[in-house]
Amino acid sequence: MRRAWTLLVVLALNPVATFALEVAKDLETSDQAQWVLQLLGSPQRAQLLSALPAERRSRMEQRLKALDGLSPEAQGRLRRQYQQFLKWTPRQRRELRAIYRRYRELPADRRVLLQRELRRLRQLPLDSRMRRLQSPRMRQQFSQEELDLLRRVAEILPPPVPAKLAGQPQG
Amino acid sequence: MNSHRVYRQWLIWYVSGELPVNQARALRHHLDSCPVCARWFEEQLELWRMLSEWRLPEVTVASNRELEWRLELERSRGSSHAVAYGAAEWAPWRLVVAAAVTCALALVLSLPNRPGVATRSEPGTLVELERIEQVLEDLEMLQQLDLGLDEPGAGPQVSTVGTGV
Repeated sequence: MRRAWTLLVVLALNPVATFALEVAKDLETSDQAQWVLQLLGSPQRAQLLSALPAERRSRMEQRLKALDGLSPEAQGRLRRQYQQFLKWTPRQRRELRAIYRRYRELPADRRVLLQRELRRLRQLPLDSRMRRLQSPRMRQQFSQEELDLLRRVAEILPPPVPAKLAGQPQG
Repeated sequence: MNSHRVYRQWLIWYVSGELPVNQARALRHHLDSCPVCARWFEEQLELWRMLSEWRLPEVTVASNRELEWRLELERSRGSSHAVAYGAAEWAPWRLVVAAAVTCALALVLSLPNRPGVATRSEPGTLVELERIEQVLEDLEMLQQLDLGLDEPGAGPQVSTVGTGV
């Protein structure tokens, strides 16, 4: 009987502990992002990068440089986007990262086209997005791989807020 | 060497009176020719003799009362003994509290140092570097895809995602 109780308690607390660890990880990642943004332009960067193998170092340098080039407003916007991104479920985040890795493999001109299309899609309600993606015009314009990427992003992205609600504070 | 081990096993059955007659005969023959096993046999006999002489104390009304009195005394000494004797007297709610405390402790230990309280001035560890790389990749992704997550109402979309990666 006592063993059954123990098992029950452990099973009941398991999701709680998992959630708590997930929250802690998010907080840590958020904190880390804050720290990364503060790192830009600081002398600590050289010290940080020196600990990395050459390939990873060059990739990090490239990404840090890209962030350096942003205006303070753009950095602020990116930070806000990141905070929103952290509110997604871990599964959604993994999904978007996987999409992005496939997106990165595409040629630069195709990426520009996809960016434009993503901007259009995010303005549409969910059902309109799917209708648009199924249209013959889109099939002519994009490859199967690109359409699949667009469809996956369209599924993850939240629908736009109606204009009359957009000004109201978020609950 | 193996035969000695077999004979010793037989010896145990022999002294306890469980060895079949033909094996007992073979064993006695072996004991006549092997002083090592013969000495071991003597020791076993002595052990069995001592065991057979040992008697359990007789259970009487008086001994029962004494036992009850001792148990009562132990209970009245409080919960410290309960802990000492394990979780035998633990109520289920105590298990819940213990598990909750453990979870809280795990959460506190895994929480990052808050900015301003302690600085992240030790970025050299591999774990830290991997996290930073992940954050940088995420930032690059958000910048490149420009999904407008900072716009009002851009909360997470609920459960429409396909299989995770």
